[in-house]
Amino acid sequence: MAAFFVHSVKIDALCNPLPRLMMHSNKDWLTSQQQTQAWRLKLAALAGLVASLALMAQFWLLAQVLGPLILGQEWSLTPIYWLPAALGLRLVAQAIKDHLGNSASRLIRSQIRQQLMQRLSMLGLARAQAGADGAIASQVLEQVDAMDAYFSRYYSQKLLVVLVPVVILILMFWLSPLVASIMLLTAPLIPVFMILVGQRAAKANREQFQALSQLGGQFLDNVRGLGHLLLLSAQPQQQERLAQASEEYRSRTMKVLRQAFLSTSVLELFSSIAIALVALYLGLGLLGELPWAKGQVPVPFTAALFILLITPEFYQPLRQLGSDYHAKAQAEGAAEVIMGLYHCPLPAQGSQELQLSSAPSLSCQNLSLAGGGRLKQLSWQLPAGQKLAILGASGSGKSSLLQCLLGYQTPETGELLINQQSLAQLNLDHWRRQIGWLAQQPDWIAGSLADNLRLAKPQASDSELWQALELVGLASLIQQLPQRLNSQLGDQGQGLSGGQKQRLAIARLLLQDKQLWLLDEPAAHLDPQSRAQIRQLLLDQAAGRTLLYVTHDQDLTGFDWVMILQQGRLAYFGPSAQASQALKELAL
Amino acid sequence: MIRKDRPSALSWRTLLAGQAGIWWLAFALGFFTLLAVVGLLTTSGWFISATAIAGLSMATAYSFNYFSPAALIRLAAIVRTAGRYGERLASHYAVLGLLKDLRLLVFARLSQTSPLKLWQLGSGDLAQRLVGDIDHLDAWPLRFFLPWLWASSLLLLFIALLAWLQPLLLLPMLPGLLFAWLLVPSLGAWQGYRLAKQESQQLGKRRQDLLQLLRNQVSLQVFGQWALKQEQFLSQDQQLILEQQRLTQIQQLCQLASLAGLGLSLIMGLYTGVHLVASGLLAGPWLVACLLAILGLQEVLLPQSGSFIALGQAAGAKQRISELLPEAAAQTVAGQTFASLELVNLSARMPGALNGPSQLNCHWQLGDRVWLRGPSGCGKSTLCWVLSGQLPAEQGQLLLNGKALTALPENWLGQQLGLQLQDNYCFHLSLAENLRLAKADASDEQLWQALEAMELADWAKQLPKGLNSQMSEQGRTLSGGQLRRLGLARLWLQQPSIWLLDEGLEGLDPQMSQRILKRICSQECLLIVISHQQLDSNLFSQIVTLDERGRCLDAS
Repeated sequence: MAAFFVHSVKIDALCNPLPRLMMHSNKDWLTSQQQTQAWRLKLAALAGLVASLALMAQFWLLAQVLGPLILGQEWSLTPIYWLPAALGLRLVAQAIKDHLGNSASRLIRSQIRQQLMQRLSMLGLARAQAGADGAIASQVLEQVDAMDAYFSRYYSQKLLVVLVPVVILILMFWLSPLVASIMLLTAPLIPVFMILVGQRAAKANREQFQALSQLGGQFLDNVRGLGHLLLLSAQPQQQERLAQASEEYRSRTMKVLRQAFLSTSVLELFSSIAIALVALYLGLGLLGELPWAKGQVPVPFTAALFILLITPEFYQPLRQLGSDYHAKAQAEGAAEVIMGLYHCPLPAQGSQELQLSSAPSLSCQNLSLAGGGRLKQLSWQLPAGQKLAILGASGSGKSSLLQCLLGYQTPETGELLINQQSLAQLNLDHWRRQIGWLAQQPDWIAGSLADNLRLAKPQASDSELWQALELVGLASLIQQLPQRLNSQLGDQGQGLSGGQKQRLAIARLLLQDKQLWLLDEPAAHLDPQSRAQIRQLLLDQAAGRTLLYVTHDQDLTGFDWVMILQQGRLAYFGPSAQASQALKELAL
Repeated sequence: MIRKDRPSALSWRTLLAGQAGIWWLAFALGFFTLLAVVGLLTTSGWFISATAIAGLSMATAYSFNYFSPAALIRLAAIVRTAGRYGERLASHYAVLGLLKDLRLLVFARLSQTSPLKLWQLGSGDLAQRLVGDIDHLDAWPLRFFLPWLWASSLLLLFIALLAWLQPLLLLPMLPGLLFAWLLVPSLGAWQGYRLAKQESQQLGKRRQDLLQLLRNQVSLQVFGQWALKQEQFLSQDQQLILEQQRLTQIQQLCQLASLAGLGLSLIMGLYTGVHLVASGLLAGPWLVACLLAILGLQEVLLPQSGSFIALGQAAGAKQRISELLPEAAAQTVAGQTFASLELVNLSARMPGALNGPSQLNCHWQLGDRVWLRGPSGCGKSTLCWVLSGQLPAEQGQLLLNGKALTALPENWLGQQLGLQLQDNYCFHLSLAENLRLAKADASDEQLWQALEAMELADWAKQLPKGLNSQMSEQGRTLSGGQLRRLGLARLWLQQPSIWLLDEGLEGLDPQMSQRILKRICSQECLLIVISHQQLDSNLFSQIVTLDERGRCLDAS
């Protein structure tokens, strides 16, 4: 846990300075994330190198026993006693390498996830720019997890792929320059071939990925709509379609794979050929049958055995890197997706705390919000304790205005003033707690009625809860329930009718007793009768508070002021008495 | 009808049966590849040892036949490369086939589920989960089944050869081999199987938690509870990541243990072998070959050592899919036509709901036009599920042609009923294909008639490819009203005896819904419209009004 907190401190440092967020590419971003655990990853590579050296020592010991034995010379058991030590060292070093890689990856991923959550806290409703909630959840969860193999293995493997072959080459030059030359010749060829084959494979891979997601999409589409298919008895038709598409996908993918697997085969081929060549050269050399060195033994048997054992290890790190290569591609893909959230502009905030003890006045000076020109130069003033209805077609900027007021978006120009104080100077966390908020679909947690009410005021007593329920006219209904306040509510508020849910949400508002209410179409989805009741209830309870009420209803009784937005501009702002005329003119 | 759900027979064998031939091919190719991997090292080791001995004297060196071992080495090198390529292609071909089989199987079985259950499960989430589970099941043969077959067959072959060559060498080597082959995977399974099995379920829960957190964000921030909830989520996530890391660790430890077993076997073999060679019981080159074979076996045994994870994940997936899927049931259809529908003192409630229709008494016949109205959440939709036979009544009875639903052939009601729900669905298909879901053999002319009747024809005509225009995913470019009318056009093609519209006209302007209702009324059917919208009461022969608690206030 201690490490956990240490890192959360670092996150803020990473999160805030803007230049860091403007990385040139996803690769740079991945590298910068990796740097936070650089020492762990370098140690992991070092442990990997030790493991390789221990393996070489094992081979050397093996050759030391077998060489003299086979040749009928005097042999000794001593190297055998060293073998378990070498084996043990190799296993321990490997275990350390794995552990370091795993922890580095875990820490980096938690750090990224915390950064993302941090951004989400700041963005609030403005997160919609980065996609639907489902897509955002994938960015925060699955995509971050998809970088695991890249952080835990790829980086250290990239170092090992240089270190281990170099060590082996040095050994080889000492033992047999010819074998060393074979290795030196094949080694650079491998990357060249891999690039040649790999580029085609990568292209094919991308196409295949698209096909896969299309097919997956089709399956998803059918399962999502299965209820409707069943009602239409149309599932056999769709099943036929799915079968066809799957078969097409299979033949298309096989074409791709035929190329993609070539790149791994290249590695396999070089490794096999090298072993075969080395074995033949050594064998013929031992017989004295080499055409250019008849009757000579260029490499004595003990060294020859050691060389043969070690040859596959020369190619092993490359083969491993080849199979980890997809981890890199995967991580880069994931980074690209996550950037969506990283590129959302964050709201700016100040440090002042404004405690509202009475209804505030609100005003807006020349307020504009970029991004499709959603708000253009709004200026208006709402005196303290007055009720304002906000009207406008969908897309006219009503919700953008609310997002500005909630502090999720920073105006491009102009400012919002609360009691003559600019919102830009306020601490947003503190500011949001001054607001009473109600949306079309209020939010519920799975739990009892009391749990849901106490979200708004954790220390509220039962009698306070009943008092609030009484005010919204729910008390008698809940009295009749067998478990009363302890009745369970699903996370979608299952169990209550639409009107009842909204009443319960209003009870929450009342428990909080905030001086400023922002209401976003709180009754839009209800039937006309319930809608009128809820509206009246809200207007009654809002007495003495400053109220902003976004609505589609044209019935404006009970409001003091009316604002009409049209394509981001202020089409009307004035007393409600004259608003109906304006509505007619605007043909709303 | 609600059927009782039993775990369906989704066995490991059925998973393999569909592509059995190709799996065998993949096995054979993989077997020979791995044999070549081991063989290449073994032969090379034997070859240089034998040449070393032969090279000791000029005579033996001269007569040594190096052509056959050299050919064998080249053969092994070629088989290793080509075999691996072929094995990969074959196994992936089989995997893609399995993917197809699985999807079709799951889709077919899921089709037996009642639409109501699908709604309750939340189809979007369900689909997402199913795709993940199918992927786990799909990976199972490649990550569990084949590695075990390869490892076992090659190891047994090696043991048999060793027993034939020199049993005295086999005995000390055997414990290490058995440890790596059998004990390590079992230990891994013991430690990690449960973790692996639960993993994807926990991942799903974490996703749900995050989605809920996001949904509630504004409220939580306004209530000052956000920081707390966010911290809770992150620490739960941290817990999960640690568990995942543990799983990885177990897998890595298994690999190391497997290496340790083989290493032990090698050391024991070497220790015994040198004495056997010294006393002339074993030829030196054969000892080298055996020891190098052990090194080659590493590549064979490593994939098998962590295979329990694949097994655990697949078992979890299999269990979840099985729980979800009901047993396949035969469908029967009988020819009786619809005449009347009766509710006798009927009460019903969705699981967990406070309200629902209570004590309703109605009698409707073919040709009746009924408007059911009431405030939001009074149980109108619940009644709709009861009427469509998906939700059993708590009390009272639903009678069709005077008979209880159970006395009628299964799916009979389904054939008679055309149900339009609040949310309609548009598939990622062409407009014509979307419509033909209702009637597969409908002519273009009939499609146009249906579009005409629902006032969609003008819209369809200005689409780039008319009837053949591709609809966007989940009908995103369609407005709510268009989506509803598309659903109605499907029903129009189906010509059901009972039209049941649950808020089916919402989003349409009053004149349009009036015109459309009139057209539906011209059909020979029972029409039941459930709506809180204001409709023209002259169109209806009966108006039933429910109050907030689901009781009938008025039926006129």
